Amino acid sequence: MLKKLSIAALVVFLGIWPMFTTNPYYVHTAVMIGIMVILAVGLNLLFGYTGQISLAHATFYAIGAYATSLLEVHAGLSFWVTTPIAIIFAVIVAIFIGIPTLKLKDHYLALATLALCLVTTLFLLNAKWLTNGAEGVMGIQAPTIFGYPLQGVALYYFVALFTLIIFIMIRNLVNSRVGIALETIRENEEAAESLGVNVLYYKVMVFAISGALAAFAGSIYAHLTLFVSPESFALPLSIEVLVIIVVGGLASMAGSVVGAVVITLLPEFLYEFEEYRLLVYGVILLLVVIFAPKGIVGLFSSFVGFVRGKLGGEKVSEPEEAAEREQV
Amino acid sequence: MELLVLKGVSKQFGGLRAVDGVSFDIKQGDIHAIIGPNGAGKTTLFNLITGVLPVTEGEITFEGNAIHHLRVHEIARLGILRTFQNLKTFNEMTVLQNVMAGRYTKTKTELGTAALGLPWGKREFAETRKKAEEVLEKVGLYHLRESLAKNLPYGRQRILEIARILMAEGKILLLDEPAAGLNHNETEELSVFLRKLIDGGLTILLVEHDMQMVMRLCDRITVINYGVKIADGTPEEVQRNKEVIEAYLGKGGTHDA
Repeated sequence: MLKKLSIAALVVFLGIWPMFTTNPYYVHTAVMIGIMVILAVGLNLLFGYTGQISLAHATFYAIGAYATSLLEVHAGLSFWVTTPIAIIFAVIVAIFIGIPTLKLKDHYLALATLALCLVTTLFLLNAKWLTNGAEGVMGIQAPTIFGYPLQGVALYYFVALFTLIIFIMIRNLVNSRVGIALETIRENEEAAESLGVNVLYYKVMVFAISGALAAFAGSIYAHLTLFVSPESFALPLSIEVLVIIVVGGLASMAGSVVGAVVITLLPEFLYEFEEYRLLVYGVILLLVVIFAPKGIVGLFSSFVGFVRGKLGGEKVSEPEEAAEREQV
Repeated sequence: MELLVLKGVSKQFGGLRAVDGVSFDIKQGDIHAIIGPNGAGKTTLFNLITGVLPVTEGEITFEGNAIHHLRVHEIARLGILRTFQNLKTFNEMTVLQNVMAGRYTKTKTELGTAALGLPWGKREFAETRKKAEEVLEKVGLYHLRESLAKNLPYGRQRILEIARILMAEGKILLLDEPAAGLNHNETEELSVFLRKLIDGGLTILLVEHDMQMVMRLCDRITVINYGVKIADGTPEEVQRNKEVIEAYLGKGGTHDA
């Protein structure tokens, strides 16, 4: 009940806060947070739930941004046509790349996806005939809906709505038969397979879903900034999304959101450290892995459990204690 | 009626013939044990039946159909479920989730249905949960359902692995040393429990070192040594078999038995 009320309050807040500000920078940042949430939800499905690490998230983000931008600038197609095309393209790329690479495990998978990410950057820089190299693609138009341009607050509402839809769909997915199957793949592939789970199929499908989400986020990004260049889609972006889900909480839907908010807002408070961004991420990652392996969300729920225990209320850790008692 | 039939099954690992021309069959409703000294090829045999390893030669049929070319998950869907000698519980998942995972082959919800949160997917999930709670109740783990599997004591984890495959309501269970790490009472309880399962229409094939349990519990026993079948029959027949005694006690030890 309390949970439902707080979710309703959050939705209302997200709906009305732009009416009380005139600062376009806040709106811009809010859209960036939405983009990061979409990226994080996709990567958390792949890494947090299914256990397949990927450093190639920036690649699919780039596919979304560049495919929509280039098709619009050169072929004059609208956002509403280019975005689905970009998503389908990302899915195809994910399937082709996923089938060989997802047979790899752990560091090998990390290395293969790292290579993909680096190759993407080189491609964007060097395939000048297509991507215009380091100068990037200009002349992207804000999408229009019923003749009204999707920019500023309008873009914010569009992104907020789709972020919510994506969040709900992925939440449904992880709380289902399929979600359990994905977690069994993370825990033990051999055992998952022995229970009838087609491990490679799910890995590739989840890779494709996370790729599709990243491509969608990329398309939104291109239409937020109206300019794309290779540096926005390089390795630091992949790492940033990874940091988001680790800091927020792996295999936690709320973790993706909390992490995206924290990591997107962090540079606003640390802007004098801008050049050291990756260093700061590294330190944060280290601290989280050592002191809060379940991320902020995990820290919060153990705090709640601790407070409840102190208040003498319902004992939340009872089963664990029962298990420990039996072990003795 | 023969449920599972092995005909001349061999497995070659480089220069080593881990399983060599083994043939035997498992009858519907039996508890059938495979025994043999360490390294005899028992677990390899399990891996061949469940498709983890491809057979080098020979044929495995289940309900009359060849299965040795199928993939692991396809074999599971036929109703052949297994546990592992070195436990493979899903450590970072709760006991309840571990057991729910076992229902995979009996449920249908796919990606699209799940993501859209369609009512039949949710209903099926709720049914799986209810079923899992029933199974946990039956095996005595219900009170631990919210614990992470890794926090259970070893013996309980073994029970959890069996509970997990019970959810599949399969036709044959392959148990790889189910009594390993269990104390005397637990082994006793396990035997009673396995008997009950057989009465419920299941067939069990097990690899086990606890001879007391094997001799008391099993209907048939297949003995292998160095990858070769050396005996096959009821516990009494196997106990009298000279080759078996030699394999276990060495030559000249026959007068002791």
